[in-house]
Amino acid sequence: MTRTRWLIPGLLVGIVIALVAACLLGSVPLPPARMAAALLGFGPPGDMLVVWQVRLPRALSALVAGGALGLSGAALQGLLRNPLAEPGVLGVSAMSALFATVALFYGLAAFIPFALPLAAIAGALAATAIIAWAAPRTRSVVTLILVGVGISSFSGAIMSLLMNLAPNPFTLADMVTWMMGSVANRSLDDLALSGPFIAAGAALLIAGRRGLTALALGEEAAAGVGLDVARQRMLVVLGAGLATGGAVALAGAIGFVGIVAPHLVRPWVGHDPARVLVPSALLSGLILILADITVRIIPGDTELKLGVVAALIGAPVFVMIAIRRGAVR
Amino acid sequence: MSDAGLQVTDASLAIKGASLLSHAALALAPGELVVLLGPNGAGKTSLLRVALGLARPDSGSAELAGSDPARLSPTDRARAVTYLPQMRDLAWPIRVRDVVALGRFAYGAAPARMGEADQIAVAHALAACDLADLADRATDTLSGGELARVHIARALASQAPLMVADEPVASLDPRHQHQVMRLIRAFVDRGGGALVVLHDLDLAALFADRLVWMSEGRTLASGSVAETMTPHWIEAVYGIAATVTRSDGAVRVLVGR
Repeated sequence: MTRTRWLIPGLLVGIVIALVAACLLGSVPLPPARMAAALLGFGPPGDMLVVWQVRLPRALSALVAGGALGLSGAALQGLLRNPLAEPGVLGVSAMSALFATVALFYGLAAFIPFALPLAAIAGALAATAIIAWAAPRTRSVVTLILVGVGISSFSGAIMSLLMNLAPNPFTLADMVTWMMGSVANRSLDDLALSGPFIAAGAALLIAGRRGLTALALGEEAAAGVGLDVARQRMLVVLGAGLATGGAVALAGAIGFVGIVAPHLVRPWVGHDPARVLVPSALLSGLILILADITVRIIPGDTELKLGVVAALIGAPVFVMIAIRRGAVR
Repeated sequence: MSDAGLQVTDASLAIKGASLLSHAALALAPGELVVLLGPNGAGKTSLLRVALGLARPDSGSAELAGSDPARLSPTDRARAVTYLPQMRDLAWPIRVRDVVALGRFAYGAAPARMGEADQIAVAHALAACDLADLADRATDTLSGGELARVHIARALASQAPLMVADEPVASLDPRHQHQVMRLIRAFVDRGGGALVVLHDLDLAALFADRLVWMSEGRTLASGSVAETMTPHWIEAVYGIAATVTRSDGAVRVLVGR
């Protein structure tokens, strides 16, 4: 049990170290003393700008988006009783990114302040609702993942159409950023726009975590021990929709972190799906901060997209889990 | 019929035109072990679901602890009767102690959040099922017999007066079948009421206070082992010939003559 007790404090320490590292590292050299001064609010204006307008918002966005995706992934895995469920794999992020792109494309985001996160959340909710509706109707997880692939491909197709219709290269570049996921050029305002939705989603998911343990028994037995299964499903759909939608509004469609973090955390908490949630969110936030630092310090003319790095790490883990499960069954 | 019991009267249920139950009846009171017998597809699970309020009959009625079970909240239902559906693999290799702790779910407990009463109930259930040594093991390292005992312990931890178990000894070897049935028997001897679906006639004869025979959605007969464990009902329900012998008060069934 001591391992479990140190897990969350350990992750928190890791996150603080990663945030400090994110403020220190970058194209403009910033020694620790100057970084600390800027962070506390009495450095020269140039340093203040680098820390408060560029590096910190970016690292915090990676942390919040990662946390939301890790939490959603862990909750969806608990609901669907499968370690391969994840917002990216199930097409939730793709649908969400599509809706967000539409909002941007038609200029809605310019007129209505919350249009972007609202559109992203609407897309995420549409996809999670389809998944949750399909889940009890099919016993096979393969079918469910195929439903996710369907949602993903559909969103991808519409997205390609929109890119085809893009009026100028700038809009096109914007769309690519959404599809691949990135926290470049994020400000504290962007964070404030998506943050409340992510917080609301996270609160719902954490409030409903007890039911996820009961679902380990199967839906019938979970109902037998006193779980309102329909309500639980609604709670997770809503929570994961809000959190994932908020994350996509903030950072675009970043896949696979929602699989990697819960997978790594699970053995530490006795595989209890309720106790997986919070450490998954923290670890997945930490992973995205580190991935974003990597993206920034890799030399080159164009910056690598964060979502690409996440997929480079996450996709092999996904394949590994899938094969290992296949071997057991 | 006491207030603590469970009763289904004249229940019929059809789904998509297929009749699952027709005029089925069932009763369970505290202090008795009722075994529900019938071939696959006879409607046993549907009858259990109606009795528990998980399905609402098209006609007829069900009563659990004095009220309509379909109107009970999942929590109230779980406190009145503990339900062990046909065993399915656990989705995650969670610890034995955590599975048993789920028996306390209806009291607001979770494996990570156990009150004193919950901890005592879980400890008692683990001890009663001889699982104390396995409490911290992951469930994917257990044998089928051990896992069956874990589920019984989960049922006991709920401290509900009634237990409904759908084929709790499926795919167990004879020794573990008897072990599980003895645990259920002990629960009944302490004043609980248990309704158990079995496919093994000898096991049913050995442990049941009363048998309910089911075929094609109907409950054909209900009575003691002595009255109803006869070639007549075995043939009527399963469509096979059988010889029933009695020696030293024990009933033995030889199926297929």
